[in-house]
Amino acid sequence: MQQKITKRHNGVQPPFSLLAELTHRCPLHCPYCSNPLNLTSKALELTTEEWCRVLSEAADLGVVEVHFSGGEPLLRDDLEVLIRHAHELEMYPNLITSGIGLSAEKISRLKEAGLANVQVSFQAGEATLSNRIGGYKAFEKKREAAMSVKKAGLHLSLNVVLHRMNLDHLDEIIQLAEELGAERLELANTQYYNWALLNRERLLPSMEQIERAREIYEAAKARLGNRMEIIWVIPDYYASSPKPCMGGWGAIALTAAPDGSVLPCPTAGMMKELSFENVRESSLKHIWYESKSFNHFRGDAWMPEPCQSCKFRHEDGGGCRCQAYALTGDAHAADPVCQLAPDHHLIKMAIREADEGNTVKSSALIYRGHHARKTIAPSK
Amino acid sequence: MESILTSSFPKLAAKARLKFDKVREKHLLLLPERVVVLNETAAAILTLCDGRQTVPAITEKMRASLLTDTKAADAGELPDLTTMEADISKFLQEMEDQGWVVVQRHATENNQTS
Ligand code: SF4
Ligand code: SF4
Repeated sequence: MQQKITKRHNGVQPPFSLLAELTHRCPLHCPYCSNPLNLTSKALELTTEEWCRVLSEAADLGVVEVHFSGGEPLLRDDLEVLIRHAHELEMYPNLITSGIGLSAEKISRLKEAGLANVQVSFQAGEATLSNRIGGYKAFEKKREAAMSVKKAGLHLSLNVVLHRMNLDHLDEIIQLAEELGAERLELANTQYYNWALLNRERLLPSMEQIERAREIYEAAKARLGNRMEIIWVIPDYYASSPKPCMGGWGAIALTAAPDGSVLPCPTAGMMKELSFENVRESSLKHIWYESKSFNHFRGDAWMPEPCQSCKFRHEDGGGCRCQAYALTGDAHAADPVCQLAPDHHLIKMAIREADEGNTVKSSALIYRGHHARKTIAPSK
Repeated sequence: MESILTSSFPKLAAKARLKFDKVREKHLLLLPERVVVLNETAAAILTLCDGRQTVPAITEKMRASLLTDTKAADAGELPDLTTMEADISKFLQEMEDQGWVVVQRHATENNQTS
């Protein structure tokens, strides 16, 4: 059977997971938000029927885990219906939320609908900084939400995006996760796309900050053993080799954006040189196996030098395509994070500025907008 | 081999779900942020981890189903019960270390079957 799949689809395997970005709307305004600068407005969001169809097609395609995300997915009043539908299709429903709107009553209804896991984001370990970063008085509500998740007997993951403003307070973050009884804590160093790239001067930490934080993380990991799983997502500007695209471009996961466009990863939508197909016009199966966008960076035929003749090309796939595009304007370029990349000086420059800290005062923090920015034309 | 697991009731962790995937024709263990592809035996053992039966009971059932699946001529080649129980205990210990199975000292309440 494995072979049949391979033959039928030119070596492309079915995807394991779907990131369902139900909406871009969100009560928070995180300056590192990975949503596009051009946010989709409510009027353009897929309907409940359309999302149900996407979920059914995903299950047929081989998807076994659905991450309901956004924006804030709780702003959709059909979340319960969609979780139930995913559950009935025997997929594993995971909720990725800011926690705003997750009351005890809501969580028990979602659990009853089949929800398996909840990931709550925090901006910092205490209220003042957390609220300042998120641009919203959210901290206490998040704590209450996390406690409700635990009370409902669901697995609780915390996710904290790390950057210059909160890296020095990592111990507080770990303490918060322990207090809340989280089973998993993801310490996700910021990846610089979209809003985060816009705010890079304010967010990119110094090497020294990273080193100190890494020590705190390692000590906590050793101390907590298997009481709490702690994940450290490496700060890739400071990594020695580029990170591969999550499992490979169009290899294990796909993302459906609020307006129905289907992407190999949540940030790929920014690439103007590719056009992404939409579930309103094509089936998920067609998009996964046949679409130009998904096939474009599969394999290694597309690679330029120095990747084409590099022995690491199967390990990192030439690095992240979104990063190459965001920094060089060419999605085919070697990821500038790589020391062998022709554009590596771009990363070195950003790091030098972060280490000197001389740009911090000159640029203001740009908070993620409330609604779709009407001044920017739609991407297609 | 005596194991701490002998008198306990293993149960799949609340965050974990078992699934037979018709597309890949494989048993999967679904976890937050992770999918584990299981072989037949692992899937069969985990299916029996319902918090209501002990490791010896699980072993008996595994052996019984192996006997039905195996031709009478090959039955002699099956490992003995003690070896099987040790193997299953070891496997469950690994699953517990990963946090995918919870080992309970007492059987899950109501509907106690063994
Ligand atoms: S990163 Fe912040 S603003 Fe963006 S969706 Fe998440 S909570 Fe909302
Ligand atoms: S040259 Fe390309 S393939 Fe080689 S390590 Fe750098 S990014 Fe990876």
